[in-house]
Amino acid sequence: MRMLSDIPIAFLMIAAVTLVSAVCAMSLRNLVHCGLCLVLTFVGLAATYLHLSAEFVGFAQVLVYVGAVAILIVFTILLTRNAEVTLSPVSQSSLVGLGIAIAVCGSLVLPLVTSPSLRRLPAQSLAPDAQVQRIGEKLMAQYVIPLEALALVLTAAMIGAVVIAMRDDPERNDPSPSPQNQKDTGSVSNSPAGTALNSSSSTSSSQRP
Amino acid sequence: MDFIRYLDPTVQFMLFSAVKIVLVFAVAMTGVAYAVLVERKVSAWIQDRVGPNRAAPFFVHYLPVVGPFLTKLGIFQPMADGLKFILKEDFTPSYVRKIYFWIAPAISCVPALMTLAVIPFGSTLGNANNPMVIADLNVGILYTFGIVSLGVYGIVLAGYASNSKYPFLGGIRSSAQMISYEIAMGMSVVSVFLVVGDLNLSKVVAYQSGGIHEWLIFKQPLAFFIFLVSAFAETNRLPFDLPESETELVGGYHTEYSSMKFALFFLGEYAAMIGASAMMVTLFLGGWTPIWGGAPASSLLVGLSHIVWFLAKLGFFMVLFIWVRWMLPRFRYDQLMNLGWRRFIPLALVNIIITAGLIALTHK
Amino acid sequence: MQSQLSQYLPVLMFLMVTIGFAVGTLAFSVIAGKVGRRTRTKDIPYECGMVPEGPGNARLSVKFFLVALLFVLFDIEVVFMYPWAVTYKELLAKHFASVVGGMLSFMGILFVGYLYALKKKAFDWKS
Repeated sequence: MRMLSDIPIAFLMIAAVTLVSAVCAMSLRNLVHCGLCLVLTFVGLAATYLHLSAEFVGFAQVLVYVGAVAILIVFTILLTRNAEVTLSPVSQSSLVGLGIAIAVCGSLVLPLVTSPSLRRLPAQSLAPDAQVQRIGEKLMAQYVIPLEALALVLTAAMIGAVVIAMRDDPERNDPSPSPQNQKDTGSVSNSPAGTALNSSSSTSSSQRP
Repeated sequence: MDFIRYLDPTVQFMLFSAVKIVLVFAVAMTGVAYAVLVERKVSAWIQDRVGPNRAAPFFVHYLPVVGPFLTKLGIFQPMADGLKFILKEDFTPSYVRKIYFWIAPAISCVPALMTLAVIPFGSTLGNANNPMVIADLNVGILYTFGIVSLGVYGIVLAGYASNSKYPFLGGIRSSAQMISYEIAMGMSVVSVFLVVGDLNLSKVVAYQSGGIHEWLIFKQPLAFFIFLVSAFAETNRLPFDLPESETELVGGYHTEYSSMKFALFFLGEYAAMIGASAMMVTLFLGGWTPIWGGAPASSLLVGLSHIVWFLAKLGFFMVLFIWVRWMLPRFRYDQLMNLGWRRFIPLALVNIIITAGLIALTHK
Repeated sequence: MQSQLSQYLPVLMFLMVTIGFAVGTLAFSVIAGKVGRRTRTKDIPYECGMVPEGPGNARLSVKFFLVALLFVLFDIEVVFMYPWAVTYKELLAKHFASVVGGMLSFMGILFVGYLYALKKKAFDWKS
């Protein structure tokens, strides 16, 4: 049994799948392909966590990222009609992109390099069956304030989601539905997600009983 | 069987795992095939019809009394169905998105079967080092929920790949339904884990091994109810079979499918039913433990009886699934969403708070 | 079992079996299935006999998007509840205030967001 964790072949395979699918997710033209490649990337990350004996984190990754975030992304792609149209990039200048990429990368790498977790410590003896319990203990004893902050962030996100998506509330309550084409051009919103998705009442048999 | 003892523990472990996997797979497949038969027979019985009573291979006629009896029961019907699925024309329309059209059935059936991997379906068969579960994971329940959430992809992809209106509507509808009830389901088990204190499903069974009065269905009736109803929604069964509601959407996400690809969706649905039933048995009905309770078996015979207990409880839920299908009318989509988001989520939260409060009070 | 990963070997094996089964049956039906002709009527999307009009993917209500978004948020909430639920009994003696109050306020804060969504009729599919 030890072979598997000693020889890095498992790690290499997981890493290869994760990286290749991540590159595909960025570079493919069809948005649905991209979304599904992203799913594979998330699965690869979950496998990496499992490989590091972080079971809870691994399955939380599957549950939240593969089962929820990626579903949301796929949903968003499917709900917009032109999933297969190749979109032109927002900015033609690659210099701006490079600058932003370096800035983002730097801000991620810097704390990573300076963090104490990078120092090579002797492996602590992990009690494998107490992992979830230990996470719970830390969460409840040491990290209560971050947990509450997280609740606030989630609530803010919830309110934001409702505000964005339920924007055309008064229109919806209109007893006489206006023709489709009017509706589609009528509801202009300034957020990109909003413009793509603000076709709330233009369909469908599915939401009318 | 003595030679097994002299093998390397790794090889031994792999060998036992392989045997268990083959057994679980075989039982699940037979279960699916005969669940379809039971469904047809029960529906016939409820609607005062006869049900499948003809199909039989030719040699059965030569058996004196048993042959006609088995034929009447429809024992051979699943085989005929399977054969037909294989032999039918496998039509891939030209307007579909080919890759996704082909992988969607596989994606919808694989996760449904994979949930069975962490279910303890028996105690032991005499050897305490070899528990009757394929993988005794510490985070068993998270594994199940993670895998169940992958099942949504099969349906979404089927709807998208078909490039046709009914499947698309069915696919989106179904995935919205499934994700809505996943929340209620996930929240309902939180109170179970408050009581048990572990995510490992074997530990959950061990907690309930004292007998019927220890079963969590009696300690957490509300959680059980929410889980049960959510399981119906998750498996897309009536009264929540909106994804395929034939009167509105023809067949939902599998309208454009034929032959074995359709059969895999079908198989996925029934495998999901088996998985959900197994989950409910494990979480609320004491798993493999008999009514009077029991420790892990020390002999082969007792071990087998535990597996029979598990299968019997599983069968109970399967019949419940089937019975409800022919008893209740379909929910409307707004009623479905209303129930999931506005009733079950607050209910599950209240249940968690009450459970936590009771534990805190009795603890002091 | 020395390594945690080895626990997942049976899972991996089971995955192989199920994938093998799915792929195998699909392949088998291609080989064994009846070969039919592709006719024009057979090759149009099924819409109860009507000739289909427009693209296959109709535009849908933004509500579906909202449901997916809220699902993500609630899913995260549930994931944080699991470690709490598992340790609740053990921690009651040691950290009574934080284990009861901490999670209660966590749920309370999120419930406010839920109530807001409820008030804004985010879960109301009747309209």
